[in-house]
Amino acid sequence: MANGIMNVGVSGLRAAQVALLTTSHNISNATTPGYNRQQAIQSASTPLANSDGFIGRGVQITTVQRIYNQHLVSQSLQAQSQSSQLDSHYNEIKQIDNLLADTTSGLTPALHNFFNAVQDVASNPASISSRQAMLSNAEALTARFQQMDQRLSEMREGVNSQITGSVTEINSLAQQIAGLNMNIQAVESSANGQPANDLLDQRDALVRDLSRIINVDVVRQNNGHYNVFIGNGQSLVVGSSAMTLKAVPSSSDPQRLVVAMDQQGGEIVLPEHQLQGGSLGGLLAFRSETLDSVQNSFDQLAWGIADTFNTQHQVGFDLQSVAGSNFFEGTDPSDPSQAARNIRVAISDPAKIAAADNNDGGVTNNINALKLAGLQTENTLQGGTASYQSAYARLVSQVGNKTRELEVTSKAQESMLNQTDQALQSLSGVNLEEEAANLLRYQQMFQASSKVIEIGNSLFDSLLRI
Amino acid sequence: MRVSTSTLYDQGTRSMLQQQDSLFRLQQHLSTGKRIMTPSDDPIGAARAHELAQSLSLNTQYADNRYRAADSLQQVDSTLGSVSNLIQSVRTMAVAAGNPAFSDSERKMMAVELRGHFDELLGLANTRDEQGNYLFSGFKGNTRPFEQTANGVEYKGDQEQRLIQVSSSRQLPVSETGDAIFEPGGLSLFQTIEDFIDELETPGGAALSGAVSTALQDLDIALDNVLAKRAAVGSRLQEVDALQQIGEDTAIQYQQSLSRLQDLDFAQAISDMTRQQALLEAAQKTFTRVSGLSLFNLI
Repeated sequence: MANGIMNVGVSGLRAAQVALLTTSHNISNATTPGYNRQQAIQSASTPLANSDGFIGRGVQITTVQRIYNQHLVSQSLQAQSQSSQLDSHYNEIKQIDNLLADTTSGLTPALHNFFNAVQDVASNPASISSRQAMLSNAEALTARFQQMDQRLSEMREGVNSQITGSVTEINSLAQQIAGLNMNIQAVESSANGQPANDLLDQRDALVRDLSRIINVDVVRQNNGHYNVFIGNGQSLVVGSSAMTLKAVPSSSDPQRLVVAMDQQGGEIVLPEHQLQGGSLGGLLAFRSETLDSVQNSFDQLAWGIADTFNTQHQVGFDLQSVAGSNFFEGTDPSDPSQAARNIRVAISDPAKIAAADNNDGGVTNNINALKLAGLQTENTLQGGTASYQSAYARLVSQVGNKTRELEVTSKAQESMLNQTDQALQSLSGVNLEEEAANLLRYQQMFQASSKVIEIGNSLFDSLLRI
Repeated sequence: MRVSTSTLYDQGTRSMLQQQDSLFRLQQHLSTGKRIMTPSDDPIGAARAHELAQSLSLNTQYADNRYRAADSLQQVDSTLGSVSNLIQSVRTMAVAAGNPAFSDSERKMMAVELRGHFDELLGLANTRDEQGNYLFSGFKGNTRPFEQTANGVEYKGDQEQRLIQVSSSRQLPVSETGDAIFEPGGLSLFQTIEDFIDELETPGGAALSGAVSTALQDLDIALDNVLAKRAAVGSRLQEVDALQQIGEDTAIQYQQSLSRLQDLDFAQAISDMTRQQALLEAAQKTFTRVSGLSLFNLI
């Protein structure tokens, strides 16, 4: 009997030790990202059956498990990838929002100065200095177009390098997840199927990292492997093998990097709608929904100004009674693309400004200059519905609206993410108060079990003294 | 609900960061005095501001144009004033020359004086503006409008009036053409004076009384014409003045609208800032309180 008491006491000591270890492990990992708190699960050992009844044989630890809820985790993954997508789109579009900023920066002042100079020529058609000022202001206007286009191109470059970075990161995460799939299977089978909690946490943390970059779906296999799908169902990790993604130049535009998957005998470009969610999804959405359309609007505007101004300029005559030539150049008459980048002033000689409406040699003939100045307020763009300024204002409000929308939705999504994370943390996160209480509890258990052993020992002694 | 220790810290940090972000934005608005920092602050207002800025800029340009128009018109007006004075002097001399008591040599002296007036008139007809363009040659600003030829004085300009955009809807003529001033209905003022001088220089002065009455008749026509032109120029000057007044009023309206759109309501912003500051302080205090509580402090 004394032996039995000793054994029960020892089982209690061992259980308390494991529980204390688990508690300390929780405490030391309280701030580890992706850590799920662990619990030592105790159960009463199989009792000894005899004629007295079933006599208890102490306690055993059946397993150390992590407190984990698959459903909450996948909810949080969804929330994370949506939040990252909106965040990255917002951060990118904010740059354009800043670029357009207020009325004292951007295109507006350059446009006004140019047309004020045209008005000056109309009022003083024979004045070479007025004409020179008009040319200088035209140069400033085209330079402003080029600067804006340059900034947008830099953003495009930025998108490219971020795509490359994202792809590298996805590949590295995929490799690590595939590696862990193998590793977990191996260590768990060598531990009689006990769960490798910390490795499982590591793998979940990698999946979580992946969900920041792109939408992730995880399908758990019977053997414990994670099969990982990204975007809209593109498989990335299957068991122990990981696919490799690549950032490659688009076939239609070499300046535009797209995501492709390495396949035997070549690479397959993944369509953008398959790459949704996460910061990568946000980048792609920014490029196709915002950047392209803003750059296109600038091109349309530059092209429209060049086209309408040239048309009016060509019907006029310059100071030498020569018919007006193109005032702006560099834009393709039939294709607005890249007009903002290429627009230049074609004229360098102020006398070449065609202010007159006939070739009678009238130096104070300003009829064509008046018409050129009138173009500023005429609705010549967007099918005759917008002036230069209002076309630009439309662009400003379009970008402003989209930025605001993203600001609001990304904030909403962020608080959604916080809520799911809180729910997750509420279940799986470490609470130090709780662990402190557990420390005390298992300390007591340890001390009590020691007492049991001591009593068992004294029982044994009293038997020996007989 | 069970709250994890990380949540406690994360939540505390997050709320402090949020308050700080709001505070930072308010500070930016306050330091720039702007309500709209970027279009996303007010997309519709931002677009409207760009269009208002154009209206304001155009309005300023029209004001410049009006000064230019007024300069031109004033120069035309004062030149026409001199021309009408000159015609009146010539007319007075013509009346005096009709006196049959004058001898040939006295008439010759009058002819010399009249010749002076004639040259003066030609000078006025060929007046240039401050940029060196002839006032009365129409679009041919660098062509001398009146040239003395073997056939008398000839007009070399054209029949075009220079226009200046003085408001969004008004292009105002700011010049008069030489032929309209000095050759009304084909009757050349120069020819009238020249013919009369010829008559004065003719010895005996037999046809003088007829010449005087023709000259007076033609001078009256010329004078009426110049006075009519001057009245037209004067009314255009008045129009410029009126437009200037309207333009100034409009500018104030535009500026007020733009200010309403763009400028910060300081009272509101400062009160927001104070509230935000209190919120941040509250977040900081509660965070230190809550995070300071721990069972570990007691064991």
